[in-house]
Amino acid sequence: MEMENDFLDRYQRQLSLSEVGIHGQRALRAARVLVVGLGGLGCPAVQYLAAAGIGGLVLVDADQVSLSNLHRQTLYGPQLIGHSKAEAAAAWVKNHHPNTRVSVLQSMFTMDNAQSIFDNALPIDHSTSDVGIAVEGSQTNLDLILDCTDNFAARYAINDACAKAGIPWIYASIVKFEGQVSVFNVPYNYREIQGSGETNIVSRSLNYRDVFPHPPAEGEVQNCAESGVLGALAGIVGSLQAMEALKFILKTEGLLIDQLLTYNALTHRLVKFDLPRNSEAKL
Amino acid sequence: MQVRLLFFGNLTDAVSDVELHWELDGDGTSLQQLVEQLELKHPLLTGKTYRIAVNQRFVELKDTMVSSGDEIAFMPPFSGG
Repeated sequence: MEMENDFLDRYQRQLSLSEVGIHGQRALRAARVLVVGLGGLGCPAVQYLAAAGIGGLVLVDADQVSLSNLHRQTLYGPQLIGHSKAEAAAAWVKNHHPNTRVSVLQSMFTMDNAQSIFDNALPIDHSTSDVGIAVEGSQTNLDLILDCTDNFAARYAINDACAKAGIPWIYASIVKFEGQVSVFNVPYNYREIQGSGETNIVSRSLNYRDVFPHPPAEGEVQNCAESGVLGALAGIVGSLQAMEALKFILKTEGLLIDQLLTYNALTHRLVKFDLPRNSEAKL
Repeated sequence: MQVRLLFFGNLTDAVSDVELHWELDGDGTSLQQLVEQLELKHPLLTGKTYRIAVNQRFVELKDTMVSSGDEIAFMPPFSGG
């Protein structure tokens, strides 16, 4: 851990924001975020979370780096081909942002292993947990999960596991020149929650099944490997995802709660759709 | 009356465009009728998974009426990451 003066110097440009300040920086240091998928979205998201001073990152990915990843997965170079993405991303975090504790799970995310991943994600650090934002009803010391995956099986597993465990999560996905971003399962009174002892959760925002109750048929919706994607789009949308994560931890206004943001890089059309609750959504 | 149709993700391939201006006979057309007409013209839409938003708000297909000038968006789930 850096000395206090270095700490203040490193984060000076964001400490000077009224939305951050020393209180916000402590919240970032206390926060524990799990990132599922270290591909096109996960690379920029992890970079900006670690750079902002997130205290604990858990990186989950079963995949290895391949040559066709390099045009958009900017944490990796040719020397890492064949290596674990999660390990390589963790090494980058440790090298660039030693204030961030990082742990790695070389695994897929499924409903079967979700609870085990939550339980073993990060050891509780009592030196920082007193200012954490882990919320009541959560069965874990994780504050937030980022879905940076590229398939519906993982996405629905994240949705259902987070609903069960009471963990907010940030969704993003991309195709060709377009991206979607939303924030799911957040207590509506998240700005008032002070710490892990908080019991006053009013209710939680919508989840992915309120938007799309069931996965599409196999092969109906293509992923990046099938339909193609320009790498900079992953950078833009993964950065939007990191921004929503930081806003949640800093308890700012304007989170994409009960809203779906879409961005088209060809037309620069940016649309926020309002999402009504889907009474037919079943977990 | 005319409405503006916006398409996202793989649906832009199904209609070969991101935006269409769609003419409807008279007022009082239901969203269900509009979708039926659209699928007749663009059969690749049939059977696809998507939600519909009218004027930037997601709606249910049944019981929704469309009015002149409405912006109607067709939004599929995205997969890539």
